[in-house]
Amino acid sequence: MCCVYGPRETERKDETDMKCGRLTTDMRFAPFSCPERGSWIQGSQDKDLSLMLHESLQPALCLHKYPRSQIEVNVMVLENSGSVLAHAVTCASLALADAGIEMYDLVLGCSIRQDGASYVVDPSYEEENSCSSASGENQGGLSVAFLPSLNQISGLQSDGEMAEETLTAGVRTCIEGCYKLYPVIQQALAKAVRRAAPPPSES
Amino acid sequence: MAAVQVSEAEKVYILHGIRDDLRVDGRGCEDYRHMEIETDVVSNTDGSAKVTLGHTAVLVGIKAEIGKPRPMVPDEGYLEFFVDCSANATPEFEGRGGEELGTELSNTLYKVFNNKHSVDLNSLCISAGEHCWVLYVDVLLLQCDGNLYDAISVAIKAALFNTKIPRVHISADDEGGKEIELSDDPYDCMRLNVENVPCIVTLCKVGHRHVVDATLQEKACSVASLIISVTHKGMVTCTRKVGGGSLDPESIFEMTEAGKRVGKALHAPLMKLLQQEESLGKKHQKVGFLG
Repeated sequence: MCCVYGPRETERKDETDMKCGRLTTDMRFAPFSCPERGSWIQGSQDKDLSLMLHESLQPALCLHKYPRSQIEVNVMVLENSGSVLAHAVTCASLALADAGIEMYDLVLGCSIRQDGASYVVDPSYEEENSCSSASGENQGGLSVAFLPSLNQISGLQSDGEMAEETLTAGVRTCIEGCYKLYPVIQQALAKAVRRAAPPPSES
Repeated sequence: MAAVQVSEAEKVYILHGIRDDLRVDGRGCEDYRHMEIETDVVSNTDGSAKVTLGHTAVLVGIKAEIGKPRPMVPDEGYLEFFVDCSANATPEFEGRGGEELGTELSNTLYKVFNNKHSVDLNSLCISAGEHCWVLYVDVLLLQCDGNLYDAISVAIKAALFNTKIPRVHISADDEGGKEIELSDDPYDCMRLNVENVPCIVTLCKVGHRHVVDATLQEKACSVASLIISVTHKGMVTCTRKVGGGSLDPESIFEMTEAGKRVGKALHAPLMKLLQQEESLGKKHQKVGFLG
């Protein structure tokens, strides 16, 4: 679940940037979201994911159109069943579009998990955390945040041990996944806008 | 990271130079600055190393303590990373200013070492499920002039090479519980195999080309950089894009390939140097912090 606040005036006047706006992101896990109960205090994993979210969203926003303002993005993970960062990125960009913040493009996230010679797109929690018994090479996960119409990667994070060719193939697979996701997201956004503000009837 | 103010004219100058494969200090796009490595600088630690890369200075101290293994993996020890950006490096790090950067660095280090092959964690086990060695890796930033990740990873590799973990003897005591005895002999210790420890290469995208080992000025001209950690075999353990800009997929592929090439080439001379320093033994004069 993602909430967007802004553009609003920056609270700390000394850090105001006259030329462009600022983006603050915050990502939290609800304690009941993972199989083991987490705590409300932000752990280092939350901070790390918030930073990745910030880096993935920043290239897409037209921050120069909002000088001296601050846009806050808060993501709350209600249930973590794998591939959290990718879906948080997609959710956040939809929320930003819903808020009417000007963006260059929607940011879509996709992740894969590589295990030996096979890979799985959009892994579930068990798939993400299982270690295969064969201690082979090529085991890891990869998350990509992508801007489809501009063909740019705004976020990339990989984990585990992989060969470089596997990494490149994985990035290509994630990009394909984002392209497949794009029309679905566009349609959902268009439907929501139409529902909120129905077009004037032709009479 | 400590930032420098770079004027527009300077940015254009740096950009044009890099386009022609010539950087401000005369290096090529894939050359590192002068690097100095010294191990065993802090006497209270089990392993330590100090790395100076240009003007960036990093000190790593490793302490081994006995702890309880993680419940999921009872026959493995583990590493804990902590990066401290001290106010010595830049005045921006005073108080809690450096905390954000420190957590970012330590989180990346956790990811880099989060695989089976980097460090042999089974060798850190004393008795399965009860005792294991926990290596606390503490990184101290002494001076910050760009390219922190590379300097930190080289320092960690050198410090791990230098780490001497005392041997333990497990004996059963009177009540039937296990008693752990550390051997008294300072030379009776276990060394770690650091062949597979990865090194991090940071590639900054400046204009249409990428540079390795960027200084603060070059970093101010780049919109995004890619951090890639490479083992000596060429396997990639962690990649991460940092910075507020976006990258073309083609440039990412180019950068990973270059990163792998540079990273692979970094390992062999590093191991040779560490072994050379080790073989000098007690005879070599320590330079320490005054050199």
